[in-house]
Amino acid sequence: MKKLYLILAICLVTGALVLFTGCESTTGDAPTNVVLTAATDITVTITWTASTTTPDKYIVYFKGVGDADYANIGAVTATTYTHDPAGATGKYYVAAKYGSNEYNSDVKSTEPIASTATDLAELNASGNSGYGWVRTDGAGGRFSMTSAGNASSIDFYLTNFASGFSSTPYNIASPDLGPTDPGGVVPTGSWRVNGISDPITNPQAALPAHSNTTYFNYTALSAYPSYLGVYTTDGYYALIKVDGLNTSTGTVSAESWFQLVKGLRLIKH
Amino acid sequence: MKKLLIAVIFVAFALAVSCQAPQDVKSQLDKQSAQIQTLEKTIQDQATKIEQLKMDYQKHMIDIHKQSVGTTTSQTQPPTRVGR
Repeated sequence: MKKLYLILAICLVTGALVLFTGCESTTGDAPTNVVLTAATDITVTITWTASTTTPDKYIVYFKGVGDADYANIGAVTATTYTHDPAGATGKYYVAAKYGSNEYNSDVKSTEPIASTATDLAELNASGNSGYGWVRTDGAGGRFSMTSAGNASSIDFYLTNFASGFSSTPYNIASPDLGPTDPGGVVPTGSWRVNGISDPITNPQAALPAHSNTTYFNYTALSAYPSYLGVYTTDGYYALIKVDGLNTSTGTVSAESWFQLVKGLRLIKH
Repeated sequence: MKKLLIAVIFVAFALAVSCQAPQDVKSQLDKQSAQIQTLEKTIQDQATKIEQLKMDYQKHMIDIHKQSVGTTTSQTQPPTRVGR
């Protein structure tokens, strides 16, 4: 009988230990407010708000564009991590690890925001000549260059720097050239002073780093399709694909990828 | 006195009768009035057509201008390409 009591007592003590030590180590909560910023123009800093219960560590996961699965790219106890994605863009999340359990944050992405091809008109042709991206969601869209009220929405426009639309080459130009454009339809206004790169041979590679030898006030379109980088006056990078020249209607088709992480020139898509 | 009164009445009657327009004259006047109304309407119609022609002409001239602008090969030089 004494033996039975002893066994029961041991079982009770073991159960209590599991309850108050083992279980506690697997209880936790996810980090929140994950934010991606550019550490440099090709590396990414991930920051987050700590879990309310301190975890053993935080694990940062990354899945590049085209990758099948997320990969563990680092473990830290701090609430920030800097990642060199080697030219890739992709999705990140942070897991708070408690024992063998992980509590995942929301997913954030550096993948550029794609906007489907749309017709863009030369300044003197029928249709909108201006094109710009919404800074909050990266969506690209067309705007008229004939209204100064659109100045805060336009990042480049299509022009042949002539009064008609039949002469070539067409050019992708910074909006601030509009008022002096011989097309003669752009009013004065607070037009953005952006930079346009030379044509890019590999549209999946990181865009050229911003400098006054890599970005210009305009770039002539000598071939179709052409890929060009855009560096905006407020520090964003984007890639545009210009194709489908039609000089009888004065139009081209424009497709774009906008990097929502300010200052990051990774554009793989 | 009585004779004078009769004479005056006779004269007034004669005047009244003589001043009445003959029936054929009245008919002619009615016809002329109708013709005038028709002419007035015709003039209005013509004025409307002239206005339409003027508008068509203006539109045509604008289109011709646009076409000439669109097909002109401008000799304008592009601006200086600068880094930024």
